[in-house]
Amino acid sequence: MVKDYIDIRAVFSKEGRAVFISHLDLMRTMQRAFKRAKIPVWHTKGYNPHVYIMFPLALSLGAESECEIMDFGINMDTPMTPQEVADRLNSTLPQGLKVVRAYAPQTSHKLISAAEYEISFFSDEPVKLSEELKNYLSQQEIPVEKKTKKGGVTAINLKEHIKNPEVKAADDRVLLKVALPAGVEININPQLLIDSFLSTSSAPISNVSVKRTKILDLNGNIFI
Amino acid sequence: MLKDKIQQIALQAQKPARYVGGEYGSVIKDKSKIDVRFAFCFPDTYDVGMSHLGMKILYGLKNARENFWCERVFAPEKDFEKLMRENGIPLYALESMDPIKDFDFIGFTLQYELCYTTVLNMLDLAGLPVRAKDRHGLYPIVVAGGPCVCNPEPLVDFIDIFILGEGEEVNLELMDLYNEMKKKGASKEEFLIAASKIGGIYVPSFYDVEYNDDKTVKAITPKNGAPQKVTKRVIKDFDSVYYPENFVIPFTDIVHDRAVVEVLRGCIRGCRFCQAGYIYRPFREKSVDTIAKETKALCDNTGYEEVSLSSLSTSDHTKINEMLNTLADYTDKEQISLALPSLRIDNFSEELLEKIQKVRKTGLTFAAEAGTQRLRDVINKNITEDEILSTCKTAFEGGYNSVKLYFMLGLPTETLEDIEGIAVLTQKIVDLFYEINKGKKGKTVNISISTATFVPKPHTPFEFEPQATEEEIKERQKHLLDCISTRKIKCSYHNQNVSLLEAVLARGDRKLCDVIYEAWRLGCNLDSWDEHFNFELWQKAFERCGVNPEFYANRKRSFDEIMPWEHIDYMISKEFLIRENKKARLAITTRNCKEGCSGCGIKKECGGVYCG
Ligand code: SF4
Repeated sequence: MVKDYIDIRAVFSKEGRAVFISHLDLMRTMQRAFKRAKIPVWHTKGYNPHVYIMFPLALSLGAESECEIMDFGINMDTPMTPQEVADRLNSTLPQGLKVVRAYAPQTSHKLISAAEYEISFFSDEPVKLSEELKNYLSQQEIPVEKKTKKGGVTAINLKEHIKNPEVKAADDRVLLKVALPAGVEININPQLLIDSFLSTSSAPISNVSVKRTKILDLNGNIFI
Repeated sequence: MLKDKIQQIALQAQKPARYVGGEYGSVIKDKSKIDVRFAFCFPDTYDVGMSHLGMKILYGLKNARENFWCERVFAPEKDFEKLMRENGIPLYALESMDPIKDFDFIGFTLQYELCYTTVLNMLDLAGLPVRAKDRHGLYPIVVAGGPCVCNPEPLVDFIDIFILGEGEEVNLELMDLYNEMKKKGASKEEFLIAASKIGGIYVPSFYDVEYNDDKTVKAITPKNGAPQKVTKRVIKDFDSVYYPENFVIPFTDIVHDRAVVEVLRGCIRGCRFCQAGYIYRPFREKSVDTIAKETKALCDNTGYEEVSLSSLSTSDHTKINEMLNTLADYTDKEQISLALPSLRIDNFSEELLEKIQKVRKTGLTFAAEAGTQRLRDVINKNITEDEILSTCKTAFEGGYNSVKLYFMLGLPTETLEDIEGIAVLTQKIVDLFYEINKGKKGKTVNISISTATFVPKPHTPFEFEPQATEEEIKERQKHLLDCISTRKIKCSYHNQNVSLLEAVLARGDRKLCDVIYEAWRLGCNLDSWDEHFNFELWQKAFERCGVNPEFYANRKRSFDEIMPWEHIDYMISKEFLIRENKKARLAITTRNCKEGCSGCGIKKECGGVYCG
């Protein structure tokens, strides 16, 4: 079949109350936003046509992000610039969701290979906690059990997957910046690291929050 | 901050999006500029409450006023309630995430009797005393509306004000009055006295009820200048009544997630078992123009891909064909599907059927209610067997192969012959299907029969009637199964204990307040959910309070008995109800309002299309 749409990739942020929108609910939310915004979004053909939207990388419920990716098509016979698509969506998205840029994608989403996170550990004893975190990260081996897609578990060395960690203590928290594998090949949920660290730490922690800050390609560049 | 705390624990609950608000279309205001804050509470879970049209209307209506802010509140599921109580989080409103105990009004909508314990639980979760007499300050004023307040007596201990009838005008009047009196520093008592002068406002603490030795009501006496009877409110000019142009769009899946347009209110039919058919009278409708405009505005603003028409009987709209044509043109163009949930079978024409099919083919459902013509005449359900069969014929020819039929068991005058009639009628439908699809291979039909025990309701001609007992119902269920001879017919029953409890609460008096309180203390909550309904706890509550449920459910009431709701006027006169009851016993039908007025008591000034 002849391709009758133009690909568009939108990068959007997810914060505030929007962090509670699950992956499935995000699909519905975006479909309705497209409809309200009167964007000529491409529908799948066939018996039950529906808006085609793809989110190549899932985000855990509760996590914030500055860089979620959404791929979709615009009907070729009613073209609209990426900028206009972004503006229209932003005028009708629920609070906490915002398109930061939209463009013609340069690469396949299959090339996503890592993501950067900022993890905040809230604590009354940030100094002690940051020491613990540094010690934890400097271990040679960090054995964890990872869930497999088939529902089983496999043992992996998490240490191998942790890239460029930076630890900083602030007034009420310890901030960890870290890159972890993401995408089709291997995907490490930051929660795995958090749970593993929490089970070793003794400093009091009142809350943990996660924000995804970058999505990276094979070469460690920002995925576009 | 409460907001942060809520967000932290929400993640531990199932579907946290239900507990944090932030949906598109939710209304956020600057509270420093607000005079009156209203917490609109739906005493059921988010998924159910968010599907409810009345709430959407009143939410939009109140928020359209600059100095009012109406927010939504739902009952938490048990997992989240536990987290809330453990973490000391009081019941809060979804928009501001402020605790509702500090609001000016807490308003409940009572859609079914089984939500009563949830009302108590929500008040308690808010950190308020559940009994009205223990809440002394001017605010929060706890109000309740919705169909169940046509007999509010079982809840009088807990609610300060009941709002009878349609809410679009009276809610604003009440809030304006409150605003005025709050500024003057009025007390709760002073406000209640002033409020009781507004039409449709019932302040239960201003009425004394005395009982006879046989436990029936002896007298209901007003005090503090309250009226002898409180009459429900009716919107006279229904075509121009407020209707929201936008809905709150949930993130999570809810029961009915679509645009809804209300096309008419009231019903012309007068089925004698149906409370909605009487308490929403008279029949009024919106013009095709208004319906089209509201449909377009809602679809545009919400982004929904499905719109449904809401009414008790959409096909009774005087311009049904024009309306469907206009709407179908629009929805076709916009790739929106049109759902028509309440089309009646007796004027379900071929033309109409085609129209629905153009959009989507779903199963066919009939509320036949009774198995024989005699019994259908008793209940004034004016459908003949021929009409049912001819509609099925059209449907089967159009490719349908499943039919769902609803019946009631335990109707007044019912005999085993009527029960057998259900099986006979259903078998005829099966036979008809195979006759039409003769010679076609692989065609099978699925008929499901769903039966519920009849619950006599206030303000209907059957308000005097006893509900059938459990033994009687069991016997009839067994007889029905014995009469069915094919596996093409599937039969399901409603929970009998639920029907019994509904019957007790629907026609109960003030003595039930203690029973409801006790049941809630014992742990009853979210009773309308099968998985939460616990009849044993209810039985215990009845025992502890020395109240006999059979007195309310299974007792025949005489025409001159003073009903617990005698002072609650839904404009249907008692003379009319008695007349209808007597006709029912003789299996004499009553014409519908369109064919001619039967003088039910509704006043001409209410704006009914057919009232003379
Ligand atoms: S007054 Fe007459 S027309 Fe009006 S609702 Fe009653 S019976 Fe129907």
